[in-house]
Amino acid sequence: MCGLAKMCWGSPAVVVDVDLSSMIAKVDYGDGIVRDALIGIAGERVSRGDIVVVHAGVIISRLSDEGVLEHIKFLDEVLGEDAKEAVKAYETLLELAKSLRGGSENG
Amino acid sequence: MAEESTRYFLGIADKIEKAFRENRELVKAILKKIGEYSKSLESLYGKDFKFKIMNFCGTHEWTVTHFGIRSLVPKNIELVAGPGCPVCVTPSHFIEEAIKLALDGITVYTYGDTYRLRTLNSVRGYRSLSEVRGEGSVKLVTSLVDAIKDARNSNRESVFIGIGFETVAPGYASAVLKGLVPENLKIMSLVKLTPPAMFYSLEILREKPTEPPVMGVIAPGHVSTVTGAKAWSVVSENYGIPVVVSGFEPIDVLLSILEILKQLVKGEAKTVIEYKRAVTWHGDLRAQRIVAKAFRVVDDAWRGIGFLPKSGLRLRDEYRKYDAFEGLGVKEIKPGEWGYDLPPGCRCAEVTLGKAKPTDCPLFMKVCTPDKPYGPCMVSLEGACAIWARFGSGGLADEIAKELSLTI
Amino acid sequence: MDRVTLAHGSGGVETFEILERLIFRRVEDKLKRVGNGFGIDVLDDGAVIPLPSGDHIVVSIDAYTVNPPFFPGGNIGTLAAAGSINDVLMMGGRPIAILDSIIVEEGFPIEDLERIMQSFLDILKSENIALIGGDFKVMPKGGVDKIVITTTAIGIARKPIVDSPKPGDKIIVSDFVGDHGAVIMLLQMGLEKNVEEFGKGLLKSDAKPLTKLMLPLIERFSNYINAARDPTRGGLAGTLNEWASRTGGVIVVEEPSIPIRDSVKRYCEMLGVDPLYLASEGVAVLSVDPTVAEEVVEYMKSLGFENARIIGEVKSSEKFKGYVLMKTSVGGYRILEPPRGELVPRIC
Repeated sequence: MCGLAKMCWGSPAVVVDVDLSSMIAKVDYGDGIVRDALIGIAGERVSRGDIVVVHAGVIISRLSDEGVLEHIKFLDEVLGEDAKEAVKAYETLLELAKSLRGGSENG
Repeated sequence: MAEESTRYFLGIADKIEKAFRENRELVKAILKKIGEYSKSLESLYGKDFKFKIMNFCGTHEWTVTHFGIRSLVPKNIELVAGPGCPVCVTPSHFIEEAIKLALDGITVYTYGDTYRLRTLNSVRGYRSLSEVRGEGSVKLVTSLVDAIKDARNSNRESVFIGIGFETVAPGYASAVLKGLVPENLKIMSLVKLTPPAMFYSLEILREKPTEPPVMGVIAPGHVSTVTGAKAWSVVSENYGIPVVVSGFEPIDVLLSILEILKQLVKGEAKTVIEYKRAVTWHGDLRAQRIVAKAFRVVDDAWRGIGFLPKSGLRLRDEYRKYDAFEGLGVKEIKPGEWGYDLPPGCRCAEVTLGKAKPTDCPLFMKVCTPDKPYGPCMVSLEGACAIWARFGSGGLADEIAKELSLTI
Repeated sequence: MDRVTLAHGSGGVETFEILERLIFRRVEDKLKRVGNGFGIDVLDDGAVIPLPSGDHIVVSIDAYTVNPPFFPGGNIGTLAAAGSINDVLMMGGRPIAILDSIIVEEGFPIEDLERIMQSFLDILKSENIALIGGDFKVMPKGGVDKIVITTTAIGIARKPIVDSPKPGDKIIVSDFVGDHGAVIMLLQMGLEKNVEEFGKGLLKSDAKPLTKLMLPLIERFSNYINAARDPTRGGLAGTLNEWASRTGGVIVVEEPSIPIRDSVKRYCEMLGVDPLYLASEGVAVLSVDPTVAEEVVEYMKSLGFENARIIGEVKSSEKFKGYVLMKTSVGGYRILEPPRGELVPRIC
């Protein structure tokens, strides 16, 4: 891989292994190929099975179930009464947040 | 970890992103609300008032253009691109320095778009790292890790061109602090900090009274995973405009626009996170700590713009053995020496600052095309000009869709 | 002084401009075709010559030059055979014979040449197509970039498909688009070692003859297929734009429904290239009467092309002519521009 077409882009990846001494994690972007990524954030936030955002080979964030739930709350706030129309999206997201939580427990 | 569970988690990640990309019902609900707020604003500010909303990241501009978001929002909302392309704002001087190093036989590791960036002055007949590739040793990488691995194997004297914003800094810092960088590899830190550029572009637009002021800012989502949304509260406080830290999927951007309009109707000016699934108010404290430990903040030059106070990162003295400015004699630019470094006629600086649209530039798609880029905004795929060149600005698409009575 | 640039050969706007200047405006209309057939008066995949029997001869010619000549999924020999065969198929013809002309650079390894020709001949054998003529020349070192193969394919068509998409038609693609272009682009950027998918066989050129798809389709739906094209140079965006300007209408495509392989999507995102402009060498794009479009897709699936799908439709417009409009996943609209400049490295 080369280039960095979108500087602000982050790709979601799953953490396969973590080496806290070098702060390098092995991640999989979904193609079954394991690549190295530098851990840019606090090490305790990154563990096996986490879904992280990788930017230019650096882990810069973790997608958390709390985050997803917060996001749904935000949707609710900005959409107000109209939120009903978007119920479908909420449902899937809630489900996903749940599976994310289940995942990090089994991690 | 078993391969199935990796797959399972990636499936979830994918579905979450898709929920923000491919959900027309949700889009309709958001647009309905945007329409209502836009009407309220019309009655508050008058029919002709344009609400200029500036996005900061090149990737946000990409999302806006690529997904045709301009064709979705009401006419009194104008989405403008800001200075969020690190390639576009890297001074020509540093690329010239990198070309020199490459020609002197030093392996230069660079990201893809920096590779194509054209310099103002030719260096021994070369004007970009891509031109040097045949002569010197220039290698494309996606990350510092790639460069570290390759440099360890080659054992050759080499340099990594470390451009980027706050997002890349923790990675660079971590590699330096953990001693992962081999002795033969030096880092040319050209990391830029985003808030100073945002202040500057908001200021400059205020100084131009003929232009409507920026009424809201879509702030960079991934920069904020590191800095925290708190980094932007100075903007909402000092300029009295809403700032929304946004994700990069089209629905993220639409939600951010909605939040900005909502605040404007209510007369509020707050910094709010839309990208809650990845960003927190305080950001990642370890990342902030290691960046502060490895780097010092300097006044730095922005291409076509000049020096902005406290807007760049250089390695601290303790880590000078990794520093290309020390070890390889790369020359810094001093404020007195910085010269306007855009080619004649190029309006990239104005485009970068949201003062001009790419189509306002007389060179756009005439002398300056993605094939033969003239100015830096056409080189990087994050550059507003390159994005508009590939996807158009949206106006015509909108008209055709109306004519054909197509709906969303 | 004006010089030829690489953009002139990229199959986009510039190519049409230079061909107009050099050729089209200099040839009188009646010499642009044979009798009531079709030739360079319509810019299709090949020419059509009517026969007294009511059948038609379909002829196509193409020069193949690709750097590197070997790539995951094939080599220049595969391309030279499949490319011209596909051109005949896209004209509604059943390919029967091929002629080749090989120009090779002095010093080129004979073993490589053997491998290339073997791939070429293997395809002719499997598709039962005769090799009825050819030429072989060597240029001094530096006189040509490694190897150029030109092939002419000949076929017979009962009802030729001369592209004329009609308002209301559905646009169908047979498979993932852009694989070949993506592979060559990654190789040209010197990334073969970085693309792990190559080693695992997860990403390779799609170069292949489409006989097994097109012959049954022509047999069954020839009255309903108003246009067929294999989107090589210029990619899907190029084909759709040519069609749009030919119909004088607007082609509207749904972006999320266009099949693009995940790895291609990812590498393109990283390199900043739009996969819709990348060549495919084993994909068919069809413009099909809406009454049978679903049926055609199902039939294509039954022939083993399970990624076949409808991606959009042809619309007529009084006011706007010759545009391709893209409906994005959130329902926004943008123009899919025709290919311009040397957007991607030369790939076929």
